[in-house]
Amino acid sequence: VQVGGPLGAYLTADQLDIPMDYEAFSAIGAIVGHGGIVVFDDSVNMAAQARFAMEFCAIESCGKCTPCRIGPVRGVEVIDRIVAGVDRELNLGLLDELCDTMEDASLCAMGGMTPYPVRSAMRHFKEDFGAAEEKERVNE
Amino acid sequence: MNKVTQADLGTPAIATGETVQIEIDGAPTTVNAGTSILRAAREAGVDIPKLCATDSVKAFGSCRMCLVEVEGRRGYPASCTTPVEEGMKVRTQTDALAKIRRNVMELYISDHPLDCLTCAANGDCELQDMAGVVGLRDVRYGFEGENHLDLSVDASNPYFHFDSNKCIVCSRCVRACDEVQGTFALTIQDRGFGSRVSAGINEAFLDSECVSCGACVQACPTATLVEKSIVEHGQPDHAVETTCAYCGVGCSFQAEMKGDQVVRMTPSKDGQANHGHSCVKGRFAWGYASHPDRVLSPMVREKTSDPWREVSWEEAIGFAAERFKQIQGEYGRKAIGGITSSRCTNEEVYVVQKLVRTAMGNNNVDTCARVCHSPTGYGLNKTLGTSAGTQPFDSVMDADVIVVIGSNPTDGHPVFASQMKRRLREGAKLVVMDPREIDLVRSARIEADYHLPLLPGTNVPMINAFAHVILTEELVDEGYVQERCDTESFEAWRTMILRPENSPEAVSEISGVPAEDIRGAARLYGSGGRAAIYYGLGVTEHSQGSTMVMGMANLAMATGNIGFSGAGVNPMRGQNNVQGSCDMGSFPHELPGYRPVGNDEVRSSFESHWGVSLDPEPGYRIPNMFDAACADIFKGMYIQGEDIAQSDPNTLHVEEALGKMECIVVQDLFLNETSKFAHVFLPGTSFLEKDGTFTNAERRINRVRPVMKPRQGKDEWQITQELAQALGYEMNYRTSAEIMDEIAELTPTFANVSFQLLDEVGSVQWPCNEGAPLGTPIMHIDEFVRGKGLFIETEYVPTEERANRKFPLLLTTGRILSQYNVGAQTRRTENNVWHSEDVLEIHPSDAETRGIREGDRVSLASRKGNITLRATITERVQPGVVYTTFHNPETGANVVTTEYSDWATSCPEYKVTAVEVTPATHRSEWQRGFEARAKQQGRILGPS
Amino acid sequence: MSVAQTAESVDLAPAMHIVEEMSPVTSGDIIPLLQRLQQAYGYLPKDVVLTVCENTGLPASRVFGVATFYSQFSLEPQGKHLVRCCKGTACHVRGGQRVMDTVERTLGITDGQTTGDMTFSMETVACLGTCFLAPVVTVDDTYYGQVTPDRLKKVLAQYE
Repeated sequence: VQVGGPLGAYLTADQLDIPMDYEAFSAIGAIVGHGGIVVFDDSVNMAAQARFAMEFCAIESCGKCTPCRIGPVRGVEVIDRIVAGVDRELNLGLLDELCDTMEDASLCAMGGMTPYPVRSAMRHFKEDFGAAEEKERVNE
Repeated sequence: MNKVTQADLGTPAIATGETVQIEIDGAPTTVNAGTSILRAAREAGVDIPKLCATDSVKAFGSCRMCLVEVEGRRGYPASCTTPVEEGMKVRTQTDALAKIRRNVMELYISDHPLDCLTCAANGDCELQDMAGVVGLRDVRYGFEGENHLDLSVDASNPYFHFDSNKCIVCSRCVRACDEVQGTFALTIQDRGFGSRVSAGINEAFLDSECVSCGACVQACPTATLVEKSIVEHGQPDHAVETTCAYCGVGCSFQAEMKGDQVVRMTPSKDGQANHGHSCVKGRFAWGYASHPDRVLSPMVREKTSDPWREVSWEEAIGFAAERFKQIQGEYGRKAIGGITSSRCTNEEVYVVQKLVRTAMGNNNVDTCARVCHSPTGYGLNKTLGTSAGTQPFDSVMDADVIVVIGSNPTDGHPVFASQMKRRLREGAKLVVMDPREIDLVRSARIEADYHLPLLPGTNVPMINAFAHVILTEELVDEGYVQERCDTESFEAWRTMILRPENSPEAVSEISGVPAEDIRGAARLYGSGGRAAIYYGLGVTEHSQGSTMVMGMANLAMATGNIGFSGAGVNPMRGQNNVQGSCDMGSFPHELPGYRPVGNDEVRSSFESHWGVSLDPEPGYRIPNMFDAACADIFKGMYIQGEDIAQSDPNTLHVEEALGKMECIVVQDLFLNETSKFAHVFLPGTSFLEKDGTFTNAERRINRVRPVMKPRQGKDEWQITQELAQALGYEMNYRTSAEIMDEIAELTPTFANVSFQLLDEVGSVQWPCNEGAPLGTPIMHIDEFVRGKGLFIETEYVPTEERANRKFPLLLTTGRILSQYNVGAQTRRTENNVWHSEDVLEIHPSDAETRGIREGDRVSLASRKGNITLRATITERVQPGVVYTTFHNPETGANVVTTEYSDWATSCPEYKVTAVEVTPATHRSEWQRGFEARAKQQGRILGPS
Repeated sequence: MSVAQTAESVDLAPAMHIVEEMSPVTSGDIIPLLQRLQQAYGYLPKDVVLTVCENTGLPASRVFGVATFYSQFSLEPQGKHLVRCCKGTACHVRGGQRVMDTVERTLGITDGQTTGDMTFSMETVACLGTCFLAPVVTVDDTYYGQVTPDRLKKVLAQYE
């Protein structure tokens, strides 16, 4: 489940019993955002969704600050390498640091929140980042 | 030797008057309230990394390198956009910050070429420096990803290139173009990763609105925008602070040197006239100093039809002295004289006028200011008591209403124009009084509240109409007039102004400007707050130039607009040292400091110091010299750095006069038009070789420092000194500093000036003496220099130069940004790409009735002569008025102009000439003669 | 509504009319100004932009910056019909990419391009605000929800 728009965090089935308020969402690293809820079934590939978040940021970034201007472009490339199995551990670490950089250093919430869906996907659906090359990639 | 790089405090200074205490990395510090954390830290010696911030433009907060931690605040605020607050505790170096900075830098470098070793900015690149500071060791993203490393380089501008591959999209160039220069030529196109700097609407720089001021190049932290001279020569090894030798703004520059070769000129941030800004001339057009046309050897010839013969200094100076002595023997003491140059230093000018008064024994000395701002000296002296402008440039930042009369600042005084435009964007109101639609009338983010396109020659009735509105609508500052002005003269003036012929309605008939606009503009001036008048040669170069100057002074006094910041009457001086050459006693009736030669007391103070007795009779003015030459009673001239044959009006008359003289000595950089009539040529020095001072339009005395030895072997004052000695007068200066010491000793307004003081404080504005040890930025604060401000009646007397059936159009002349005056310097630079020939601007309706199309060659004929040039059709000029420039000698614009001149000062009426324009197929007779003469005069023989 | 145009000669009168109506135009008015110009001309012809700048004192560079920043503006002539494909999250997971591929194949153009016969222009958008209809495509002002490649081909065939 993704709550709050394309930059909202992904929640797992276990996390769904949660009051719909700002504080509770914030406490688990998620956002209420515009309140929209998108439900995914188990056919979704969460690495592809993480990539989609980065791509969304790359398209929508105004380009003023560096983390958001260059960061998501590199984010897409790093996820592609992870998915392709190139230096996976190193690139997972790099993606995590990139998320830090975008979150801490972006000028506005566009770059600052892009890490939410990326990180939540990495945290809760590790397997999609690990063995994706064997799976059929959804929506690609 | 100075450091080359000027300190960058990151964000502009804030002057709130209040201070706050903060702590940076544990150390307490006190800073102005409102200062950014970045600047506060840098002022305290703590360099927070940065890329998008620079102290010439407002903070932007985009690079994310300057993030800091502030106690009690979440996250990592950008120190450039966060102002300090009382008690704030800032940490600039933590592990978390180090990681953020390194990771952001890693992103930058993932889209940047790795050619540092061969990059033009190597050694002067902020990106390179910051990568080192944050300790970037690896780019884990690799270099295979999406990037901008394959873009073409825009080398269209002759002085710098634009290499988008190296761009980090910090927007410093865009912001500099907006905030510093005010042209708005640059933008960021597209968005996100695709964001790129673009000139205009994705054009080449040369084709865009870019005016090549260099502010973007200055602001660029990388080699994206870099001077071609740096690409060619590499980084400088030292810098010398000096003063630009172009216009009257007098910008301070760092001459960046490699040995004795200039590799770049960059505007000084500490420059009190320019505050770190520059224009295309000062910043880039200095190559003329090493142009192959430079004459480096003295030359003589018996007759002007002979080829030049290169000789030793001794021979040349001896030759000149012998001839001058012969002439004086045959025709009398007053048969020779000299002209000083507003291009030269105060010291050089001073010794020339001293030579005339001592070694030649007469007062036949004049200066090129005669033909530009002599009415300013006369008019402001009569009314206020000082022959100079009232304000510093910075005063414009306090003005609420700005009135620009007969001045085109964006072309003539570009660096000051940028400051003025900044004030206009802040909301000051603007009135432009000019026959032509100058750029200030409407340009990016600037629109004049009133443009009064008056017919050339109608300034005086226009200013009288302004005064009429002020008087009839009760906008007079009665208290100010009562307290500070001569009330008797005010009453007389009032009576004159109130006459019906001075009403806006009556003046509308003469000037062609709607009465309502005149009223509106006058009301704005009289009631809009602090009101400042800025004026140029469109005021002075008229038969009533002095009247108009006094008219403006009257108006300013009547509305109480003199004596404080934001107000005043301000001449925009044309040449770099016009003010100085006038101050130095270059006029036939005045000794240094504008003191009359007829005054016994004044004369005796100079006599005792100079050891001669001085002629109490004023000498010839320049036009009188020409007339006397034509009458065979004036036979020899020593002309320092002025090309009278090109710049003075009615060329045919000037040429006749010069042709009749028996000894003309020209001291200049190049063989110019005047040298075609000369017998002795003494090579001069460029500003890069001079040691002395220039005085700018705001009376600011700035140091000019040599960056190399005189290329022809002698300082110009030495040449003059040796000529004086050869004429039998002992001059024994050892340095130019000694000359300034003598000036200070003999001139009360300069009493405290010395090279030492200037080296200590940068610059001072005269009067600089016991009463004002560090100079006087604003004049007439509590009292006018003459005591009570004097109103002078300004009755309109139309010029005798009138349009008629045969000459139905009025020609007015002016300047453009890229060329300077007679073009001797700028024509010998790449500036020609912007302006390679003088063209005639003509209104579409006048063009149509004459069958003239865009780009056609046309004949421009007046009662005095005719020339041909190309026409351009534009609505900038109104019907009935045509306009051209005089930068190119082969155009011969002054063949057409007349010798009508200002009644008080003989300043020529360049701005009004009745002409006719017709399609032409051949060059004019004068122009054909010019070509033939240029060929014949180019002959130089080596030393015999 | 569109004024018939060829790239060579652009009628400046509608632009001048718009400027007059909006006068005085300040830098805050650039977006509405460009919207009206785009509506009148179908795109933003260079000569129109330059003329408008000359007559308003707006810096050409800045107008260009705005025009290239927002995807709603085009500096190139646009097709008669504008096909917009949503790339939002919901559309993305419901096969938005396949829909987009279909448009590209059918029309022979990609994001931001116009067909040679000037009938269609295509662009992608981040969200059309109708996630419940995902995947969504609009043609001009008409929404087509839950489209499939086959259905889309039929839809496109209706326009010419």
